[in-house]
Amino acid sequence: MKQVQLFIVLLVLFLLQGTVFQVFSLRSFGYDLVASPYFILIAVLMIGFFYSKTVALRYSIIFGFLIDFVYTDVWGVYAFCMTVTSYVLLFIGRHFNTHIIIILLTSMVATILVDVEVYGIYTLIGITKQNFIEYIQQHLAPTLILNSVFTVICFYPLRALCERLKEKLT
Amino acid sequence: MPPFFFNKKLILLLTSLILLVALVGFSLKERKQLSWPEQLIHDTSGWLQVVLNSPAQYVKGFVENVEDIKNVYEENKVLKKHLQDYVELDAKYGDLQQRYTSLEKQLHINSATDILASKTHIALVISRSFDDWNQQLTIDKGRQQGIKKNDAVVTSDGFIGKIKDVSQFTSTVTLITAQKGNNQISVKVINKNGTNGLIQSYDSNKNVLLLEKLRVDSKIKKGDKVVTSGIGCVYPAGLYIGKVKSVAADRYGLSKIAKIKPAANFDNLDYVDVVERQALTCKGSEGDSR
Repeated sequence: MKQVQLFIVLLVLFLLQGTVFQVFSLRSFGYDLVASPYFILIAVLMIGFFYSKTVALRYSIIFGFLIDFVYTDVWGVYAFCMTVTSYVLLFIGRHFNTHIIIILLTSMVATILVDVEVYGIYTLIGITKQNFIEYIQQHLAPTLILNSVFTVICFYPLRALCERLKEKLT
Repeated sequence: MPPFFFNKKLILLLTSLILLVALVGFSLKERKQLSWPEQLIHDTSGWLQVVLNSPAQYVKGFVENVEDIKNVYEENKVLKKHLQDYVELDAKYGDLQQRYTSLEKQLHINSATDILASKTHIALVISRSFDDWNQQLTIDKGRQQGIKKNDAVVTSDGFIGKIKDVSQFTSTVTLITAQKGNNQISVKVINKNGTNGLIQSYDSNKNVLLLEKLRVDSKIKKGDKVVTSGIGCVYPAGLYIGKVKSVAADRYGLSKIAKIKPAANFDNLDYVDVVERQALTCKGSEGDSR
């Protein structure tokens, strides 16, 4: 397995989502806002852009299911939403150049799409009863900001890692 | 440019949609026990989460300590006042306890059926779901440490939820703030009449639990304390839930609804107590609806 480094990076991001970012969540500082970290999604998008699309989608399925098993009650929701979203965005993204601004915009679109999809499915099966306006104010806006910041922070290290792995491959 | 979805991909998408629906349906079903691959995933990730979570908790604890130092003086004044009351209460409690046990002995009450009896395990919260919708925690004690499904979970402030799934070394807790109707608790309101009732749901907008279908003539006031009653057959009796915030008639005016403000703080959970009921539990399930 040549991509063991990628796997470890994704695993650490997966664990960060549920541990450190919940200890320091906005709620614990007294704000009534929720920022869900979608670090796996963003990392998967970048792997897709800079390394390989198939590897990215494979990891999106694996870690999507891990999220479903460990952090949620219902199986397959995150796996499905993340994989479909990243597939569509990577498909369209073939024609983009890979400037940081473009990647930032793409990951913002991906965050919004996944968040709305998950919200939709959870509303359908009755896990959440939040109404839409409240959802946008309390959930979507902080989530978008958190994930955009994360994209900017992890852009250069992840790109460097992917490019190094790609050089090794050829 | 090739067509966006050529045939094979369309079929793949549809298959995965069907698979998604099947998986969701399967996982929503109530199951007795987790299968071993799930337990393995939970335990492995739990172990890794401890590694990341403990430093974070430590840093947070440090920051909180620094903030606490600021108001030590004020707190100390209040606590000293409480301490005097405490001695008095303690003496009273000892007296009552003595009387209670002696009366119990006289009546030959079998303590195996005591719904107050419980056993407590202290556990560390190691992770929490990152979206607001799944109100779920993972704690670092599992079957090997004697945790069982449906045990009550409390903090020092009050009741927070119940054990949903147990793996070998970790378990999952659903909080009563979850929307999915798994927060039915049979409770007792502590006032003169000792009204019993059933908490039906949680209102996330107002952060209150709804105690519905109370009799119109029940005399519940704002500020009454609410504890678990133990007659729901799952949780032990006497776990503190919160205070009544307001009481109102329901839509048709046939019964009353009391809104209960939970005492526990759900946003800052580090250590929890898992409380196991010692009296007989029955199959009927407080805690699950549907």
